[in-house]
Amino acid sequence: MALKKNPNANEFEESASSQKAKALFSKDTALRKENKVLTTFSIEPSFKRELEELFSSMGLGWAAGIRFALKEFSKKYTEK
Amino acid sequence: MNKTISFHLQKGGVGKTTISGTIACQSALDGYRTLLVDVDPQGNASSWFYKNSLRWELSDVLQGNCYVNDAIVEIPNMENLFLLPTFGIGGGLKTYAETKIVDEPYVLQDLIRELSKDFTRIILDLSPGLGKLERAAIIASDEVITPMTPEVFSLDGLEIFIDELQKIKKNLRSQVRHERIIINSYDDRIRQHKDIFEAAKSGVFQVFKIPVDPVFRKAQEANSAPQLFKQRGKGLKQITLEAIQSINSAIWR
Repeated sequence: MALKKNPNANEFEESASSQKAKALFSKDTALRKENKVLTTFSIEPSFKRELEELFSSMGLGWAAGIRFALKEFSKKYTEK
Repeated sequence: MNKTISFHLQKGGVGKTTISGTIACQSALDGYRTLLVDVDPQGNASSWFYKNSLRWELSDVLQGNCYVNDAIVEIPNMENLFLLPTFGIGGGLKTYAETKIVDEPYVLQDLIRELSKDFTRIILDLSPGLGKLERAAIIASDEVITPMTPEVFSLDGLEIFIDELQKIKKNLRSQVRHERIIINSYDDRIRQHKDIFEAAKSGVFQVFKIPVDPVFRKAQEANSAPQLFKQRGKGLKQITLEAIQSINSAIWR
C-alpha cells in the first residue's frame, strides 16, 4: 500500500542539525570567558593598607580582593 | 603585518586544502608574497599546484637535510605564490610526525618565525586529525580558522575542536586565536544549511560561507588557481569569487 501523507505532520519541524547548531553556538557564547581589561585608580595609602589587610585575612591578593569587593557591591545594589 | 593562518577541523572532507589553496592564491593575486606550507602527509596541496617532482620537502627542512630556501618553490603561473611542499608518495612527513615530532613540539613554530622574515603571509594546510603534527602547526599559527560543512558531523567536530584547542593553548602555552569559521559548500536552497548558518552567526564566531561550486574540483585537477580557471569560458561563480575576496580581506587584517 502506498504511503499516505499525514496532514498533521509539521513540515517545518526543526532538523537535528539545526537543534545541534543552536545548542553548540549558544553554549559556546556562554562558556567563553571574557577577556579582562586593565583598569587603574588612585586611593589613599592608609585606606589601601586597610583594604590589603582585610583582603589578606580572607586569603585574597590586592587585585582579587578588589574584584571580589566590586562583585559583592554590584550584587548587593543590583538586587535592590 | 606578517601573519600565519591555519585552516583546521579534525574532521575530513570539510575543505581545508581547498580553502587553504584558494585563499593563498587570492592573497598572491592581491600582490602579497604568500607562502603555502603543506603540513599534510598526503601532500594534496602540493600536487594541486605542482606537477613536476621535486628534490626537497618540508620534512627535509625539519630534519635539517636541506636549507628551507632549497625546499621552497615558486608556483608556476602565479606570481607571489610559493610552496613548501610535502610529497604524498615517497615523502617523509608521515614518519616524522609519528616519530620525531613528539620531542620537538615547537619545531614548526621556530620554522614559521624564520619564514616570516621573507613572507608577509603564510598559510598552513593541515591534514584531518589532531595529532602532534597538527598541534605543532596550530601553535605555529597566529590564528586558526575552522572550515566546516553545514551538517551535523561537522558541528560535532567543531565542538570537539573548541574543547581540544583550549587544552592545546594551555599545555603548549599558545596564544593562537580561534574566532572565525567558514561554512563551506553552502547551498541556500537547503534549509539545514540556512539554519546552521543562522545559528553560527548568533554565536561568538565571525562566520563566512563559501557556496557549493564544482569549479574548485576542476581547478585542482588542472593544477590551477580556482580564480584563474576557465573551462569553455566558465569559471567560479561571481558569488563564490566575492565570498573568497571577502574572506581574504577580513582574515589578514
